[in-house]
Amino acid sequence: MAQGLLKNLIDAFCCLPGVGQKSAQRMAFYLLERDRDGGKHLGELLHQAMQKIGRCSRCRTLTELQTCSICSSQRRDNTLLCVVETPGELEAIEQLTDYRGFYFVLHGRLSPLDGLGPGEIGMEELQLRLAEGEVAEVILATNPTVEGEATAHYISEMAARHNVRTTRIAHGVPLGGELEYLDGGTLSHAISGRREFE
Amino acid sequence: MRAAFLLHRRPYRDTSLLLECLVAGEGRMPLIARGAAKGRLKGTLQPFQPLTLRWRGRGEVMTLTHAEAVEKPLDLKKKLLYCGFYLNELLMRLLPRGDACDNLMQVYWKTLLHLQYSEYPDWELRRFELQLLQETGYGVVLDSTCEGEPVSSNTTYSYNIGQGVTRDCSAADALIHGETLLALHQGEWRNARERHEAKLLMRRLIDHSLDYKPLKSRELFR
Repeated sequence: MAQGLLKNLIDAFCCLPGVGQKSAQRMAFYLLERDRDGGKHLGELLHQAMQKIGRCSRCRTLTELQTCSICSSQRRDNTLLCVVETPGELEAIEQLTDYRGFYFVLHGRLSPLDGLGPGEIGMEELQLRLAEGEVAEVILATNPTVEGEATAHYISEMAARHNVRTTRIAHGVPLGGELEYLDGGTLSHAISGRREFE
Repeated sequence: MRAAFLLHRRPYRDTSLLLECLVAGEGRMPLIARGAAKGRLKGTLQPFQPLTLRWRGRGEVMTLTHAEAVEKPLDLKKKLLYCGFYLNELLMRLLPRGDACDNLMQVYWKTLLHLQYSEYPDWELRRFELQLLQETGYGVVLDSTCEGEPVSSNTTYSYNIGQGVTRDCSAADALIHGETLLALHQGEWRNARERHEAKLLMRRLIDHSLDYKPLKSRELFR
């Protein structure tokens, strides 16, 4: 049974998602026995990241800069603003799609029972952003959950007050999926959201 | 198998969900849905989706073993979603776990059904608020005064928290018309003033029963 500093290290690794006692122990032994340099590097980086990374003043994504690299880019379409729930979703859209507009990260969704209201998900900042008048279309990329839909509605009402068009990302059958195995909600979305075949 | 609605869910460990459900015959109860954060159940375990659930285990939090959608989710869109969140927050805050209010399950379901089509969703909320308070033991009597007289539609009353309807109208901020009290009691309204007065009265009663701690879902209506 590990004790002292070693035990503290193992316990600390347990704060990572998907890491239990067993994996935490493996990580701690690996760094101590085989890769002390890697461990030191990890420690320093963790320390710096926790100190310096905050939120972008424009889109609220995670960055150590005042304004993140996406928001300060000159080559993007400044009429498009894509609203996502998490920085992870921003990264997914950025890496996997051709979208080259700007983003706004909510860090959550409207969910009163989780204590998340309009103030907690940055609605004031979004309002200011829309009031600047550059954005012509808000793309609502919140998740297809009840809370995500409520959030999309809240933002679309706000956008309407600023005469900004809103669009919602499509929901439906995943590529390579089979209709027979879809849940009812997804299937009815796919049917009601059908469009002209080109 | 029991009929149920999900009121709230949150991630638990890596792949599980911790659910808070309103279950027929059980009232409000917590359940753990193991592996549900990744699998097919994720789409089914949503608020406003009529469900049937089965579970096993002992202790306070039991394990969900089976969940099925019994029909299409209720079609709550736009502002009606906020109304739904409001109902769920009221249930989470006012209904203690394990209080098997069977009636309340029916009231909740009916309110959701009516919300879908009602021209005046606010009135559906008033009726739900009143029934919730009555079912959870806050005796709210609206058709007679605390002096024992029946409420008459063309008299002005006031409502004293803790006592009830009274002819004594010295507390000027709590004035309410008899017709509003009877409208709430009977569940049918006739004019906009009744709906407005009913809202003010129910808000006072709900706020009082929550010890004046604010409801987060109300922020959505501003």
